[in-house]
Amino acid sequence: MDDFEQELREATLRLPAPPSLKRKILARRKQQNTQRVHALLSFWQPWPAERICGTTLKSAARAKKPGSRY
Amino acid sequence: MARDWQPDFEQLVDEHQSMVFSLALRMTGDRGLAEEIAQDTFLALDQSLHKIESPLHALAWLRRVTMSRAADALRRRKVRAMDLWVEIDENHGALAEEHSSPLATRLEQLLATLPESQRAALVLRYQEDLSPEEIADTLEAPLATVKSHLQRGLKLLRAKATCQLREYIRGV
Repeated sequence: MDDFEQELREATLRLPAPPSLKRKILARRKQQNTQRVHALLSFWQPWPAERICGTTLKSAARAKKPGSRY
Repeated sequence: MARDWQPDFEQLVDEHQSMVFSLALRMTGDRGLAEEIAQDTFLALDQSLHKIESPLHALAWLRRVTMSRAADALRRRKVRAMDLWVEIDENHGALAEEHSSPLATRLEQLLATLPESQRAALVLRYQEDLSPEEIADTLEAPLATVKSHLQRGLKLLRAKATCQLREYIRGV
């Protein structure tokens, strides 16, 4: 490595990251995790309600049928 | 097979934020964009943490993803080498002040004027001290291409530095 390359090495030393970088990364990570949990909950939440409604309607329909035990 | 190493995300950020930010800044010449790239890169790492097998793997992964995201950002912005130099000159005076030697300051500015592929190879070679083989892995490019970029980039940089130095002496 000659003098020029040594200068180039000095010119390209790693620079310090902005002091706020880590805080911003951790904040966005937390936000993403929260969003992921919400998305997961909103996917699963309608299921029990739909099942309850479905079961109720099915029971009601069966009850109206002539000859039904209900 | 059980993995011995358990990655700690915050520790990885502490250890590598300077490397990721410096690569992104030297490739884009834009401090804001570099910070954005660094954030996105670490968030992507968080998503892929289960695939990372060792500290060295994390380091190589971060280098590869940072370079790839910086290249994507440059393509999106269509920043040409000269524009980049002007941007660095205008916006990043603080960057230049961090060097002890005026030649190093000038070299960093000249580095920004090189074509993107040559700049990428030289930044990885001199900032990260990577071998041509490691650079080829990082950039997912053929070894011969990387060697050629290193050679041409260095030659062009020397020529530009010589020319600048002559102009500087003439001006003094």
